[in-house]
Amino acid sequence: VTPLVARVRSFWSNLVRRREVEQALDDELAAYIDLVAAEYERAGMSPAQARRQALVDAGGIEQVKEAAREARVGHALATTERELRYALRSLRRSPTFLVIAIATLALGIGGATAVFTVINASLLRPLPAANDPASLVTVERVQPTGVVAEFSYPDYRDLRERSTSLEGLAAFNGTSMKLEDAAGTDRAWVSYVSDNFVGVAGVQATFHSPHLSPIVLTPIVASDISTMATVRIALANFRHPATPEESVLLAEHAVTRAGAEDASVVCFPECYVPGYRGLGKAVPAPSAAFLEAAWSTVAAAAARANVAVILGTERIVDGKPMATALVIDRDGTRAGFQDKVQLDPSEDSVYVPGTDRRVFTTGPLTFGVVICHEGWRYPETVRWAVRRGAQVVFHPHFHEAEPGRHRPTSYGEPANTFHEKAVLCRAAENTCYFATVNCASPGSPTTSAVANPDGTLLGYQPYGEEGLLIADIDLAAATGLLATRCKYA
Amino acid sequence: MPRETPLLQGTLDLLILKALSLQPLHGLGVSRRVEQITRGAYVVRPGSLFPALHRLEEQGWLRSSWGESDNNRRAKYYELTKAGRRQLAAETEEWTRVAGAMRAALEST
Repeated sequence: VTPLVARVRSFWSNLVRRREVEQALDDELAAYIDLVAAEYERAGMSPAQARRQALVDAGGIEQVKEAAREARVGHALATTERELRYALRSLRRSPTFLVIAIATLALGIGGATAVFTVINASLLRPLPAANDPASLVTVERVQPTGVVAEFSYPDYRDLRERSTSLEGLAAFNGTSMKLEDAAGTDRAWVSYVSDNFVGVAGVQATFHSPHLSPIVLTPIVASDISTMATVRIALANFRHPATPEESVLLAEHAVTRAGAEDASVVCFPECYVPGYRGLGKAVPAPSAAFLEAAWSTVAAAAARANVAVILGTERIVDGKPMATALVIDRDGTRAGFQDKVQLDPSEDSVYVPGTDRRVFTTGPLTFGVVICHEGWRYPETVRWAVRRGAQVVFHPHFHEAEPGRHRPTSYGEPANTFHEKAVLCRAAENTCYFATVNCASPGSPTTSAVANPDGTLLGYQPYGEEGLLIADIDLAAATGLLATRCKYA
Repeated sequence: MPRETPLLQGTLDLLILKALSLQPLHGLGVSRRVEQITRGAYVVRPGSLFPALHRLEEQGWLRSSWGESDNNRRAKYYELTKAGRRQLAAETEEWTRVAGAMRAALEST
């Protein structure tokens, strides 16, 4: 077998330096004729005679040249053909090897292409960032366990406002979304970004899908917390109002404070405006006019504070009060009511029951409302909302100390009533957040609290202490898994 | 002049390698040397000499370069490469084996 280096070299000269090879052959034969002619001259021939004799001996220079050319090319061809034939024969004889070889090549080429595509996009082509791509950095929060965790929106905002070493700080969070057009549907990975994101990175995108016509993605920029996957909720854990007028003042105050805390939504206890008609509370007779005015005041406060409100209240149906929750959006518009459908037997003479259930949305948050007795003893009401997409179910309730009963100091004490345990169950059995709200009162067996989708406690308001309970909830954790798997709903 | 013997298939390459085993030679030199070492039995004509030289070079057994002949004429000189020497050794051994076998066969009674 010809050594590889020589093969490559001759292949190169035969193909690329053809003219030089041809010239070299001419020169070589001319020199040969000269040598032979010189010998004839030395033997006594005239130069012309000697040269003629040399040419005759050679037997035709053109034929010699042709034969030499054929020797070169013929050799190259023969070798290549032989090797190709051998390769094909080997492959035909071992189809397994053939398949493996093709698969290996395909995987190798495919893998290399894919990796290059990623590297090209992420490393080789610099981000179209500001002026100096090298100045871009990532800020990460690493937990003691080594896990990289997300920032809550308020944490991000604090960093952005107080950082002195960064020119700008943009935030993003990704989720999978369904895109739809006339041609069909497809899933796309979509990022929620902060309002300064485009300015910092200058990004624009076209979404290409085999199922859809190309979609130019216009960045929808988050101007506030509502588009982030972490949502801050507030529970208004204040005293039971002494008068209807005080209920409105306290509600207004709580909404304003919730806005200052950057909460997306604030929830009040059951029938907070004008007050709960039971357990010996002396609430003035129902008044549609008063309620209308009170709702307008709270709605105006909501718009000012940019907070959605779930207001425990009552509405007048056929002259009788119906326990309900009024949902007001962040711009102050009324989204609607969730009436209390399942009354406690003791309430039959006080309130009329509602008939329908519904869910509400504000920003990325979908939520349901179940009122007091419903959440404690009718888990179906919570499951109903979660099966319709609720990530949080709010639970306005009203509960005060009863003489001689256990007075809790921490959450879920065994000696305490079942109520706090039920809160954890509602979350765990549906994989949702469950946010229960009570008025602050001394010795009450329940307090405001938020349960995580896994049934653990996210936080609770200290017993009998007035205040706003703030909780940042991660919407991605509220999958609703166990509710959607339920076969009885 | 001795009788010219028709070349046995494959022997020309071996003869050329052998002719070049002592020193580099130009085409005419190779032809003369073959004539000499075969005691005139083989005279290699240009029509078979040059194709053979080029084929052997193509196979990497020879290497060529331009130089001066004894009487100060330009000529292309051929020399054995390492691979060429290995090939000469291998072909020599093979030829000896075949020739020995043929002789034994022909001398048997």
